[in-house]
Amino acid sequence: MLFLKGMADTRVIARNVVRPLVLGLPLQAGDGGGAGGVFVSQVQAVLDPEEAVLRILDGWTAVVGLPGTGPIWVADTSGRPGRTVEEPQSETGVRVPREGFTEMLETNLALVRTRIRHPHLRVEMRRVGTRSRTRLALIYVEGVAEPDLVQLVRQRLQGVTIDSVLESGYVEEFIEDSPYSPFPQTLRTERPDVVAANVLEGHFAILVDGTPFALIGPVTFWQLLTVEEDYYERFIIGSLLRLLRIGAFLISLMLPGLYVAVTTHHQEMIPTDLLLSIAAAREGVPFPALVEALVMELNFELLREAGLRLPRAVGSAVSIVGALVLGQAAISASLVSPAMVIVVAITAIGSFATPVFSMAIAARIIRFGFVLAAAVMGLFGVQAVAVLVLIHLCALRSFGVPYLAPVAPTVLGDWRDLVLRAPWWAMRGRPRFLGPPDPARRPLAGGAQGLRTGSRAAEGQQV
Amino acid sequence: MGGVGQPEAARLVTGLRQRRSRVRMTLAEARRLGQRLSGYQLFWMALSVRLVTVVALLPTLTGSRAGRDAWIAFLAATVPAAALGWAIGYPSARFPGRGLVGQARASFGLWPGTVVALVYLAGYLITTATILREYTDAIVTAILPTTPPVVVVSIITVLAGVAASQETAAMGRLAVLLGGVVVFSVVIIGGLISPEIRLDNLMPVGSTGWRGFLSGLLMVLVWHSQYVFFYPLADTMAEPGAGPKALALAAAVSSVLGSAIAAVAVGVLTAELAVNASFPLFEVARLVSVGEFVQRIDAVAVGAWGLGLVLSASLFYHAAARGMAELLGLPQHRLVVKPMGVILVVVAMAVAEDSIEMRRFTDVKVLAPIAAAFVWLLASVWAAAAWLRGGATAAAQKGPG
Repeated sequence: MLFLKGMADTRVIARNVVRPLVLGLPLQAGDGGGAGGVFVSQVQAVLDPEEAVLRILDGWTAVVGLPGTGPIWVADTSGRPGRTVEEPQSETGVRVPREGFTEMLETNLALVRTRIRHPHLRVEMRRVGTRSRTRLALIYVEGVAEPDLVQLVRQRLQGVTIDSVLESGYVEEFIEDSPYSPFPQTLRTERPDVVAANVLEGHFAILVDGTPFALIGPVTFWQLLTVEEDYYERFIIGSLLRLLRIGAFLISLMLPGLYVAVTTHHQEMIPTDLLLSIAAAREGVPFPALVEALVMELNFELLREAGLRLPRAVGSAVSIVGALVLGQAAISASLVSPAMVIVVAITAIGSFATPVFSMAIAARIIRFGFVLAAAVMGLFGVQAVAVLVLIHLCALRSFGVPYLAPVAPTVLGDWRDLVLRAPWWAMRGRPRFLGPPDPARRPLAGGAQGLRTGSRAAEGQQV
Repeated sequence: MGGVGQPEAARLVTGLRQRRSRVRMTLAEARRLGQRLSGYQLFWMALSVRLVTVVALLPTLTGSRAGRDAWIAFLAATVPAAALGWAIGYPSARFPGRGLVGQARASFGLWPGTVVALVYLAGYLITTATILREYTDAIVTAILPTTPPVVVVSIITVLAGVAASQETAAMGRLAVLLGGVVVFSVVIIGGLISPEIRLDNLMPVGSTGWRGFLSGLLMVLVWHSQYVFFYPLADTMAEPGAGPKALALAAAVSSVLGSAIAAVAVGVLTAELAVNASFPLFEVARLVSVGEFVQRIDAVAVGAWGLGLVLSASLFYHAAARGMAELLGLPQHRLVVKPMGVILVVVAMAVAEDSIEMRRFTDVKVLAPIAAAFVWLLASVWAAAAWLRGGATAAAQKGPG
């Protein structure tokens, strides 16, 4: 009997494998084992010793040399240590489920299956990493996900040729369309409800053993500015919050650049009173607006990075205190103007309001381009960088789907869930740009009218 | 019995399937939409290219001829402009899957077709250079007075080159976004300034006489020749028949919008001031003041116009690159983008000494003969040739049976 201590649950082995064998009960292959066999979830006979070794490395127990038997019997006794299901750390919300993925693939699959109890939910298991032999699960709903899309992902996963895969980020870089783009082309999430919602729309998801972060694709620019809570809240609130978030993203992208452009090159555009205030605030500051902006932005990025690396209890305190103390000290020393501190602070808030971390990072990188171009060429520079970013976004794709869909290319039917979100009863279809074989989320008959009629009937019954 | 008969049931099932297929868009279709140019995107391309000129130049140019009747001149141009748009798009419907050179050769024959293609290629280069210079002059005059024009020209050329090196569908997506911004800004300005419009400024109708009106109309029609950018893009159309419709619709819509812009400019500023203003719509935008809070929105308008100009230059640059690549038999148009960029910077610097000379170049006396010969006449002849040759090709393909 072969197993790896620590990876296998010894109590399960003793009770469900050793005991039946000692009692001389027959060993049966197949799930469950039956009353007269081994009492574990899975028992299989394998002929290939290498396959048996892989199973042992996964925590299974192999039984070899049983009298009268040829193959090696492997039983699922995996019981490796892992944390329990907890609230996701990187995606919090008010009205959201509290369950998040863990590092255990089986647990994560169970969390998804709990939300999609349909036989068409497909989970294709494979291993990636020639040495790590990491297990990976490709998840989609048959009949909802476009078969071409699934085939494309399979092909790209075959191209993941590396010795180890320790996190889903390894896989992401192998399968995305444009590796050199700063914009994320997959959605990373810790939330099983996000995976379930996307898979039910026609996306695919990839879960990798050893990481709580799932990958979802294809994604669009607009999808990366939404959060699942938009769909849980009432549609008016969800839509307004979404608008706010898009505004926050634009602020985090462009505000410092616009400030530098206007204060450096286009003072005539500022109302006189405001211009006087800014001029008074900048009096005594020895640096141009560009240096001010770069110093404050770099300072902010440093604080944010330091806050992330420190223990959580200390990290946030260091970030806040550091920003306050350093900002106040910089103003007192006339190194930066109060207006610049305000601009950087608003930019930071905008950045925090961007829901997807990788999208916020993209904005942080591009923001420096805006600031530099604004300092050199004013609003013309801002416009030039904006055009470059737009051109890039127009040319970018995620698994063949244009990144700016459904705006460009325009799919008007999908605008019900874009900047604003229509109520659930009005969102009949899945996103058309994904090409779902079954495009309808809900039947045409019994729509809003039916719902309202139904509610009236219910009210009538209550009365 | 009252049940549905078998043939009727089959028809119902077929109808249901057809409805489902219309609702459903496969990923292959979505990808095709991502790789090919749709009629909708072409519409926005044409409208953006046209609106950039309408916003900046045409109210002045037309007003200088037609006076307070400029808005009528724009309206009167709707039908002929739509006809021109349709004529430019027609060869693509007759010879689907062919670009500039392919269409020209199919319509006129090998050598005459090559000559026609070369004429248009030269036209694309000069148009791109002119737009680049036009925008450079605006930037240098208004924003960066101490920057040498060659620097600004080079920067805009790089921007346009990056866009031009993308696939045509990406250009189409860019047009949808930027065209939307341009139209939105025009509509917002028009809406905000509407209380300031004085109908008296538009009266009396016909004050400049037929001669002035026709001269203004001619000016409007001359500038409609910008739709020729479509020829090299025709082989990327998802639906070949959509080209003529999209161009005709864009021509009609731009005429109506142009009429509205001219009416607003004259209605707010008076005909005399509108004619003498460099950019009448921006002058109008400067007057907008809502609650002493929304002010100086001319900067926004100029920004949107600048975006439109970059798109315009990119489109002609893209058309030139595609046409040149087709002529040279190159597999990708992006191979010629960089060499053409160098040529464009040189031509843009040489096309005019300064903005005054640029304005002279846009005068109807200079532009009208060029546009009449190389666009209105040639495009009409081309459409007729495509009709004749395309019919012959179709008949030959159909065969004697």
